[in-house]
Amino acid sequence: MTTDPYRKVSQSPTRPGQRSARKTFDVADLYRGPVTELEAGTDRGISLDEKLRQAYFWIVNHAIISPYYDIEYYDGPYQTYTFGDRKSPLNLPSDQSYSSFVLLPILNFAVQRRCLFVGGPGRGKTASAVLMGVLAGYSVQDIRRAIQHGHPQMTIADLLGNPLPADMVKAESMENIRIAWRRWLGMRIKIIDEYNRIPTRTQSALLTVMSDNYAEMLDHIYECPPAAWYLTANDDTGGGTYPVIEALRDRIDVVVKALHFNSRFLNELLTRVEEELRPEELMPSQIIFTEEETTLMYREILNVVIPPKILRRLEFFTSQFEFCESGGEQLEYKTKDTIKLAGEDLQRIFAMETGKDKLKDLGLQTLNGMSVRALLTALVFVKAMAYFRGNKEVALEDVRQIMPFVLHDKLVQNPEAPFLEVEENKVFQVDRIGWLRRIFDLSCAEYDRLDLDHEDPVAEISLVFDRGLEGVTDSEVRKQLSQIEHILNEWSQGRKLYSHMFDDILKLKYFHQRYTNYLKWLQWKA
Amino acid sequence: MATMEGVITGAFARILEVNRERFNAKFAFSRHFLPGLDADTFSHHLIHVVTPIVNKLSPERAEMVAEILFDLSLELMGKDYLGKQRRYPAIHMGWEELLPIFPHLLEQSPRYFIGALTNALYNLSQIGRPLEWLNIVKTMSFPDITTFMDVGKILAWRCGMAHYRESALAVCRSLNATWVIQALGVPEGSNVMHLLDRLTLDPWASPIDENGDDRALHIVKKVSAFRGFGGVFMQPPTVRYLDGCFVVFDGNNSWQLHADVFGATLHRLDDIPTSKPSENSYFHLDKNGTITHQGIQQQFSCLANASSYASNATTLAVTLPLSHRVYLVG
Repeated sequence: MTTDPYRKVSQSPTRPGQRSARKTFDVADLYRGPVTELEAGTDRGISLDEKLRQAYFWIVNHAIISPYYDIEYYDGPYQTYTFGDRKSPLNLPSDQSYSSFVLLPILNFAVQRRCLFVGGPGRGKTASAVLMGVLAGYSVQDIRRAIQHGHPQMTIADLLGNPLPADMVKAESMENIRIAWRRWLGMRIKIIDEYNRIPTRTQSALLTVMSDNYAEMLDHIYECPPAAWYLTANDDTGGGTYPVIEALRDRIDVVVKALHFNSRFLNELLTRVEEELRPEELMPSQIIFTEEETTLMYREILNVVIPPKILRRLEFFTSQFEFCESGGEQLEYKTKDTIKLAGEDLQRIFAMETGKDKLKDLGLQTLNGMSVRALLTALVFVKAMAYFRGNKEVALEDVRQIMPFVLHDKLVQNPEAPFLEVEENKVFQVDRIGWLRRIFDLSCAEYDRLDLDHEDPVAEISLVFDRGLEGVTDSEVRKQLSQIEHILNEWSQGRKLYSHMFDDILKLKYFHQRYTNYLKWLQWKA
Repeated sequence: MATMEGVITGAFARILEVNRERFNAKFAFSRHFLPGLDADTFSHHLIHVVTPIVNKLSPERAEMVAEILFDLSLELMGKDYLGKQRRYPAIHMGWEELLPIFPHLLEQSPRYFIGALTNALYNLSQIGRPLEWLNIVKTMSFPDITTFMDVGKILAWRCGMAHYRESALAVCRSLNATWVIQALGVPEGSNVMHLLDRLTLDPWASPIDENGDDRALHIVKKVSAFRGFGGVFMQPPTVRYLDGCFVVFDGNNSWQLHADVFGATLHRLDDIPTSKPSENSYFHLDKNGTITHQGIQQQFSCLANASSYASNATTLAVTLPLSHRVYLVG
């Protein structure tokens, strides 16, 4: 075991499996011993997910004092305690659990998306982002110099670069003007500090870089390499010196709150003060990722499987939020987005809706549905979570733990939702993560109540359809059409139109249309 | 750390000067967690062990290697692998005597080479003959770390780590014959394949006695002793042959026994085995200590009235009711 804590990288395996009973010996073990972290670049047989875990544990043990395990996993029974008048629960997780403040940035690093740190000043937001830069192989100096500090006078030139003055004078066409692009544009870790202090016009330029990965100036384009983004803000409501444009906010993939400092760890701060220690300068080389490793790791993450049953629950959850029965005449238009685009007040529309249990209806708790972008992000991050835990398949708990951080800024809470007015639920008006986790749990409970793993007529139709239309006969098509019409007829008999049925009905319409077109083609062919 | 720079000379002194603040911070931080980390001892180590190593390195690599040596010194000194206490003198000797003579290996991959060497000497200190290993390595020169490590594996087996026999033989078969000859200490020009075949078939075959066709049986090893006398057994043990290996049991604990011409090692088992022991079909031992094996009969009166015996094709293991040893006949 190393005695220099800053050099110590957690020993593999960081997620232990089973031990074998009988001893077998390999002479290669001769070279395993007290010096445990041999140089990077040699074949240690360590997988990239293991390296990612080692990076996490090094950061959480030595760099960032974040002694929290708010991402809780359980493996068997666990202890629970309640405190105070509000019966605040404390669970002692029985499986490896994690600090969101460290884990989410690491996952963001692995999947190269955009992570927003929010929290009061001096809570380690920028420090965490710098660590990600060091993890990517940049020197501390390079990373610090590349941080873009948002301020009210920040111009597009400050952000992206300047045309060379001499060229501006001499050039006879735009093509002859050279641009001195800012160095940070070419880095694989991009840090924007206090992004909500950037003026609106400059935010638009930033949006182009964040969303399309290029910068443009005077008809010149700079293509940026894939990068993991880290932005910081002091609050998460989009406020600040300038309001953050919605399109820019929407580009944020995960939101991470900087947790408070636990005063019982003051001694560690004291040590850092006394020894003038800066952990970012002591990161072991063994956990630093090369560009190739980052690329390979991303591919491995994408190969993690989401089992059909998990995907189905995710579908069910997603389907709860977009539907609004008063949104339009045609079924396809009955969405919150229709109402929003019409400039109408959703609260007023919600108030008009009757017949459903307003406490149970999850759709009433949000002012919007989930966008495609949010869904794409969710899929990538749940895979990353499973990958981080060393699994080849996503588990339900991975989805449950990650979704709140992905949806933090994506699902807008309806502050007047009846559910949130119940005394015991009022805390969710401020605890967004807790709220999102709760509605996911409620969605899963409803899924189980409806027994959708076994009673899913849409899935049965889908199974047949996915075999393809080639060679399907006229009678088989008619049989499927009849089946679809039967299901729709059954559903339309006096049942209320719940949110989760909305997408199911439209999918049945989709199948019906596809079969109808195919039937017409068969008839034409005949 | 500042005073030490006046005593250290050469390239290392310059490196310390340039990186003074960072090295001081590392030392101070480590000492915070390890109050026993003594500044004087550490200084002594840097002056007498690290300086000669660093001063032999090429200028382009010296700084990087020096920092790794510094970090590893902190790591290892804190747990007494290096330094005054010297629980493992072989590790200290390895640093002092081997690292300076292989600067090219250090420069190739410093942490890997130093770590591998340190770990090898640590493991040999537990259950082998580390000084013998060191002295052999000192006489050799290696083109690269891979060769060093492969030869080191064979040497570890040769220096008493009998449990590595199978995998070491596999390494022998994959290595160039010249290296195998050096590693096994056999005369130049030896027929390596023939030698390896002999060693594979008979764990008691001498590597240097090619023509040895001695069919007589011998007590080739007496393994271990009473725990109070440096052995591992609390009580006189018994032995069985289970799942392809000798298992020795002293009433409380079980060990796996590996033995050959180079040495014998015992490895504590986590569980007491419950498999059915193999039948003793290769060797037979009677009450008088007469052993029968492949038509040979020989009496060993010291093995009379054995408490247990077990065998495989090449070895008979015997225990006696009043002895804390395991007697191996081959």
